[in-house]
Amino acid sequence: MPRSAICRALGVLAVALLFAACSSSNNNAGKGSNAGGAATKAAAGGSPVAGGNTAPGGSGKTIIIARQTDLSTLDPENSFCDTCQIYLSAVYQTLVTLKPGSLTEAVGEIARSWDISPDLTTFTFHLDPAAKFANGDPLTSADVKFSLQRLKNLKAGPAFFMDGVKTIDGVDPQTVKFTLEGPDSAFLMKLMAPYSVIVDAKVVQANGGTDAEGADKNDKAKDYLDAHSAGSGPYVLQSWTRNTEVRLTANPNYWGPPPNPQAQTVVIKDVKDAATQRQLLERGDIDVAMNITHDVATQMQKDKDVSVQFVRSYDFLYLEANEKADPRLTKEVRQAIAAAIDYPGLIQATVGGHGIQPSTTIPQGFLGTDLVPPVKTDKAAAKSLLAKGGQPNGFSIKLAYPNQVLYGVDMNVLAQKVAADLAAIGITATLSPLEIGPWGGDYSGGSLPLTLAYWAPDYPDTSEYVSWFGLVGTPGTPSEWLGNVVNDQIVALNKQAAAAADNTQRAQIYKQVIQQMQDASYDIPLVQPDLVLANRSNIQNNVYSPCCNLLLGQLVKQ
Amino acid sequence: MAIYITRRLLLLPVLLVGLSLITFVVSHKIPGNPLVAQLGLRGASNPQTVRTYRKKWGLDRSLPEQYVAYVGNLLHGDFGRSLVSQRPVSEDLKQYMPATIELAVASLIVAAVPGLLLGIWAAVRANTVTDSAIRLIALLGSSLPVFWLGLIVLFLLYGRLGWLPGPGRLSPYATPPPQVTGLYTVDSLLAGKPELFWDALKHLVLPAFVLGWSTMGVITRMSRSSLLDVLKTDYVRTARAKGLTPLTVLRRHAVRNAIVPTLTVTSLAFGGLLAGAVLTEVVFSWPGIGQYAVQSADNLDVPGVMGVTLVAGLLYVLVNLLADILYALFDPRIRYA
Amino acid sequence: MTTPAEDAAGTIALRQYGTSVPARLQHAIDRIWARNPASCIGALILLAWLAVAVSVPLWTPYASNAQDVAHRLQGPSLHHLMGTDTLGRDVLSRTLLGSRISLPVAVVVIAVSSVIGTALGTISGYFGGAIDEVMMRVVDITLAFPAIVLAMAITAALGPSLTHAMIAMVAVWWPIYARLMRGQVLTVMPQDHVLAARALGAGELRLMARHIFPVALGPMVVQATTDFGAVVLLTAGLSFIGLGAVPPSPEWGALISDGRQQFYQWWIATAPGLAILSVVLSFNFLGDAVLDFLDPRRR
Repeated sequence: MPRSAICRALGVLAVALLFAACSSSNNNAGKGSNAGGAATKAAAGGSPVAGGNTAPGGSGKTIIIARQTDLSTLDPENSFCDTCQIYLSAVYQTLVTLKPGSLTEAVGEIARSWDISPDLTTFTFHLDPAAKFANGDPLTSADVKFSLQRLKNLKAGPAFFMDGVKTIDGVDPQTVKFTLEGPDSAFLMKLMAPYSVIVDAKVVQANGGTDAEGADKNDKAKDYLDAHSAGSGPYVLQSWTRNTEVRLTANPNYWGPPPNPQAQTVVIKDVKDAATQRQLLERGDIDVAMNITHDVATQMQKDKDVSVQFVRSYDFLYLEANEKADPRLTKEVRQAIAAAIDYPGLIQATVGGHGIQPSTTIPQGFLGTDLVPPVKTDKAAAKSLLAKGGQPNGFSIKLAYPNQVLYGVDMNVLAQKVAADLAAIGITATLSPLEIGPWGGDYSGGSLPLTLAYWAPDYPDTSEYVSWFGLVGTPGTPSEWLGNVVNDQIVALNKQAAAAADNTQRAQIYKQVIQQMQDASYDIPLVQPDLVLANRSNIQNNVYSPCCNLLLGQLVKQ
Repeated sequence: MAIYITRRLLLLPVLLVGLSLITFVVSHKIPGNPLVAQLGLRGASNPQTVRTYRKKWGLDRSLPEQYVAYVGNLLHGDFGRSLVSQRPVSEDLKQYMPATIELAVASLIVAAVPGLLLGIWAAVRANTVTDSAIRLIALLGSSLPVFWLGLIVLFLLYGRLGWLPGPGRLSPYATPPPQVTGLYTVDSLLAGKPELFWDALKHLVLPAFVLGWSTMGVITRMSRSSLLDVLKTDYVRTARAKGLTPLTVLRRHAVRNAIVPTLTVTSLAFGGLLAGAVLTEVVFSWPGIGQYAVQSADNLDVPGVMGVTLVAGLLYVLVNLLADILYALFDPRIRYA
Repeated sequence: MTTPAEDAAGTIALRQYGTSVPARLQHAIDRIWARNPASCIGALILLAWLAVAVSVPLWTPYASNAQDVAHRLQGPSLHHLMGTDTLGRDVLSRTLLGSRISLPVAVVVIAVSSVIGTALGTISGYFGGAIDEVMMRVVDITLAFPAIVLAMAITAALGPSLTHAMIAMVAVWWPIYARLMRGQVLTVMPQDHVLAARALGAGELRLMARHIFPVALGPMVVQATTDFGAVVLLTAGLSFIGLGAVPPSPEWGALISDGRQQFYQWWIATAPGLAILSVVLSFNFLGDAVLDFLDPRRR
């Protein structure tokens, strides 16, 4: 064929393709939401499936959420990740859960009522007799006992929630009794965690699951649970395609408590970058975007079809100074570092100003935190503290950090800002980014003299933070790798708090704990980023849940 | 010829052992704790959990023991279990491979077809403005950082103009077609869903263009220079002297002989494609083995990293073998060497 | 080779220019420009970058790490010709300073790989037999990995840093030179002039130095010139995925990665991308010119 003919053919093909692209992008001017799935749309109009067309009638029964998913498994007792929380709280239920809008009050979910012994060692739950699983099986104490024992005996990531539980008794089909080794005022909170959900024991056992000792070797139900759900929640798993999507459909046998599932289908799509999520949201191709960064969100506020909110989150980033790993980091030096950080500038640089500085490494807003003001930036005071601590001329040190974007904050940016602030008082910090795996190992091995770190609540209670950051001597916490540092005052205060049932009392006790922690300055809180809630204007109830991230059961699309 | 191929094939197990040894040694030098990546800080600080985990993954045996076990499993087609997805690495690879193959084939077409045609055109119009323009385009392709080109193209054609869709293989509301080959374009046609086919194709355009352009340079250059060589040969001169039109000469003699080295270069360019695919997949969030490799490296998923490196190495070796065979097949001078 | 007509033209030209050294230089440049204008442009660009790399710390208005959070994420303006990034640093200054990383790294990697590769390739070709087989298998195995995957594995194992990335790149590149050198040795050794020299009593080292190296130099230089560009690209690629240069180093790939985080602030990624493009393109032009120069048949 003559060359010119080839050229002509190619030219025509190119023009044809261009036309196809342009015409479909015209349909793409996302007005409103999309309906059904691709198949329905194709049948309805035959138009190229390119954009968020409003289907005839606009039933709005599918909600699409875009998120950087980090799912490794859907097996509740085997999983431990952020996206897992969203899935588990939609498909399964816990005994109790957080009252909406509260950080401390519990309301019943599967349990209708409960009794707590005065010494906080025995917790008895009375289950709602109407409770049943999506497949119709009644939910009884046998299922509760099975699920939480399997949680403990699988010895996977979330197993520690059941630490300290001596026995679980199914007193009768509607009553479950937990006996603990010692008093634990936070036990209710632990039961609210998405990993403490209740699975259908019959189904799981039929597919190779076991809750007995040795479950970590013998349990084989994970593969089944990755493809089918066995829960009682408002939604049921339809399919999971790894790194692509999780598809849920409404549970036709949902017994309550209200609200009933508001959509027929919910899809969580794995979309890794924020820029794409923004585009998709603005076009109406998705309904909720979960990883919009703060700078991008500020730019999106002008769009009327999209609703962008900044809400307080309970995740934070902090700086840890390990005196055992580097003896130069005495208390005064650590306090100098804390005073040297330009907190407002740091919050501006990392989250565009949408965040706060916590008083200590306990999320601001938890019990006791509002009673202590955060550390103030004071370069002069920092320099004199540095001199008092024995380093009047400053020094060089490595600043390690996990090389990731955490809670919307680019750790590289955070590290560079901290390094600049330290340089201003004479401390030269060389950045040492590590992959998150090696970083975690080095961090808990105690070999990092100065490092950035992050934390998110496993369950919403100050006690968890005190036992982790409060230097009470718990093995496997900073207390250990900071050099087996134990602050006896905090230990005593903590015991008091565990035994105190009244929250006002506990807050006052925790106030003193926080003051001690601030003084010690091993862990210096840097920023508690706001959460960005971004969704189409016709979506309601896209709110942050401290226990479960996002409650799919409440989402409504108009 | 048969002996030649057999000899090359016999080398494969040697190469396999060599590859596995290198990956094993390299990835086990990784310091730090993969456990933390999997269990989270909280879980990894519980000694009981850690002990169970190490036993489960065989991390408590000595290195040589682990290597022997690993190779033994390899020979059974077992690449070990990924620490991240907690299922066999071969499953992971099977899942992510088709995406990379789809991208690689599309990019190869984008690279080879225009590359060949442009090279021929440039050779025929040697030393003119057209020739320089074509060589510039080819050179530009090999000089642009592929990840930067991807970002620019995304920003302009997707971010600002909205002509083409963004990162990913399909639009979010689309359900992937039932899996036959794993190539969305093929599977959607097989399932009789033309709209899905267009969606997949449109998502393929940008990454294939970016990856293809960066590979096109080599192919254009090779087809140009080999055609130039051929055009200077005696038999072409004879054909011209016989009075055949330039087009016929081109068609019957020149192009046919120029294709051979171009073919081999194309198969070798495949290796470069694999490399470029890693960066392209990252930029376009393409769920292929390139992105899997980066994720595995990030999470210290040693079996995952080893799996990908081995597969990549094997692929490259096989493609090289194919190139050699093709060359031997088409060039009679080599056949009897 | 030049035809008699070209020879005559050249003589006439020489007469026009004169025969002094600057005149000859001018004449040579004009001839190269006439044949291959692109390579002149390439050379000029590279010289410019070289000048920048050497001198920029003296005249740049902003230091690489001068943070100014109040003016973050601003577009190009009179104060900041290519805008500012998320910490308020000047993008143009950082890009220019980045040349002080990418260019030396490329030189070092090529130099070290070519030395190692040449040495090993010569040994392999010279001694032949088992040594040759083993060496070539090692070369095959190393070349079997796509460069970036192997570099990723090595850098991930050693930890992200520019030095480790350079080690990884040398590990990936030396086989190419080894194979090249070995091929040259095998081609040249059986040739008559070598046999003659040997018969006359020349030692092995002398043979290598006087007969093999001069011939091998040509292809090696061509390979090296094109490889410079490839090394710059690979360094940038590794830094882009976080396995090369460490912040706050203004390496070009790292700068592009910053730009990716701030997708809508297009200026952050544009400057370093253009920098890479201009450097690699220039090396490629030069490479083409060198190729033409050494093998005029390939025009």
